[in-house]
Amino acid sequence: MTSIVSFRDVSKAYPGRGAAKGKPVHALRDVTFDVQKGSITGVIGYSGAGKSTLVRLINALELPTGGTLTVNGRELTGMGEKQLRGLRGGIGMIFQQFNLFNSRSVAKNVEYPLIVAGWPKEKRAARVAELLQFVGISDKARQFPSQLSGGQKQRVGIARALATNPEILLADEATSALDPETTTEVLALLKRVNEEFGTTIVVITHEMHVVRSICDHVAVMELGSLLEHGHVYDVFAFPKNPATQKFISSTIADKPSPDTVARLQQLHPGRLVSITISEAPGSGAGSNQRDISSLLASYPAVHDSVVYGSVTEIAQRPFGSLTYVLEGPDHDVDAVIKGLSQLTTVQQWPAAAVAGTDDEGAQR
Amino acid sequence: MIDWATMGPQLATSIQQTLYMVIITMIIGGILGLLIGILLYATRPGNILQNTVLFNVLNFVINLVRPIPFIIFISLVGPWTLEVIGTSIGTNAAIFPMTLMTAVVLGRIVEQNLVGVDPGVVEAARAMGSSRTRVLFDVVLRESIAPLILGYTFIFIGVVDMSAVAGYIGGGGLGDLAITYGYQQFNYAVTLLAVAVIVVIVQLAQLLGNFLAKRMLHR
Repeated sequence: MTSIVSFRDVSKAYPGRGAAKGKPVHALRDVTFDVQKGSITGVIGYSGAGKSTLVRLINALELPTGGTLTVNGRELTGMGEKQLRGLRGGIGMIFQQFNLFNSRSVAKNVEYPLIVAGWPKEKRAARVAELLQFVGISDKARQFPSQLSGGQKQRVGIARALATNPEILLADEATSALDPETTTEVLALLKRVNEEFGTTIVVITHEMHVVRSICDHVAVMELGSLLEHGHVYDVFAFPKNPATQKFISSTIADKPSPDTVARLQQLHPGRLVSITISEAPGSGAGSNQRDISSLLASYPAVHDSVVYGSVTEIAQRPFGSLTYVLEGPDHDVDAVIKGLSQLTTVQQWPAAAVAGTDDEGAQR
Repeated sequence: MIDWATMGPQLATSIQQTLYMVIITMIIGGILGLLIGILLYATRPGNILQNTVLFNVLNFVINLVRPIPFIIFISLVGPWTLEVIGTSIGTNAAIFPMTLMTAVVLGRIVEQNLVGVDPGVVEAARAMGSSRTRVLFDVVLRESIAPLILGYTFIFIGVVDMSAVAGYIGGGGLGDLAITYGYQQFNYAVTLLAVAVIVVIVQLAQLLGNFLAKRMLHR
């Protein structure tokens, strides 16, 4: 794959306002990464992480204050306003609040970018019809945005963004205002756009399931910095940065919280361990579950039971975390934990925190 | 009581004069107000014609003129009226200060409606490669048509009010009728009649404004 957008040490600072006057606000700091041509790349992070700024640099709605940014082989720095407008015309964008023109009908909304791009009238009508057909709202052509549901509005948004056959589509929290069912439909539509037209899609989101269901690449951001990026599975299954680990565990929620750990330890005698279920990095050879089962079976003296966790798919590959209670002779349990550590990441929940609560439990 | 033989033609003339003053003012003042509003919007910090000096001057002038009571404003711009219109009394002389005041007040109303357009929609248009000028006309002005119609309707009523004051400089019209034949001749029925006609004109204007705005709103 070749890169279609490449950030090299890109920074964006805004002049400070009010009390912070003279003190610049850094929205992005030294971001370096590539968006692969034809990919669906997710940009995730908590609000204020700099996701929106990052995506607005790609279509030059904002200009970088440092570093170099290349889009479609052309370097943005030093481009004039007219050239930037040409560049924007080749990049589609959809929004959380849809941002449709309320004074124009559905068909006129979709037609607008074609007018801006200077398409002749005869060609425009055919293109609008084709786009509305593609997103499945041909029957709404003469209606106005206020007469549509959220999902239909976003379909209009997508049709409008695709009008000029852009090579890149930017989606700014495009499903955050939609209900789960509509979200699924819109995500499926985006996936189709990517597959049928080869459009590169950059998706900003704070919803992990958006990344899980359509993205192949992901970039994780925090406070204006890019923490890590790569294939979705590699970043999710083997996060390197502690902040990424925290973000991923907070959104996937397959590891027990401290409260849950305390409750589990009270309920179950024995040792509590959480293990990661995943494929070996880059192997594609199926998950480690079979090896884990075999290992547990080879220690009949240790009784194991799953008390928490989930296993799901990320980018069509298995991923999750299971929390076991292991009961049995100490040296056998130690051996099991040692064996597990060789197969996967093991987190042992400290027994110290339990001691207090355990004693109370024993007295009752 | 009303003597219809003389009051009938008198009333017709007054209605004509009022409508003449109001319509001419609405056309000229309406266009000027639109331009002032667009200029105010465009010179705002961060907009196409960003110009702090011009923006602040316009802002100051509007804030200065708006609170002047219209009857005082008429005599204040009197010398200028004389220069531009050639006379400072009569219907045409009344139209001059009316137009100025209307343009200033409308400028503010237009600006406020343009500023109120959803920035997301503006961003969407810019993301399509639309130029800033194009965004102003295709998106900002177009998206605010319905509120602008309501703003103009609101002003229309203010202009009818101004036209009544214009009787002071011989502008004629329904206000003049009410003062001259009603108030000064102790004929309360004439005052009532003038009021009734003004109410009808205003109501019709409001109905038309609401109707047009509703058609443009698409809600």
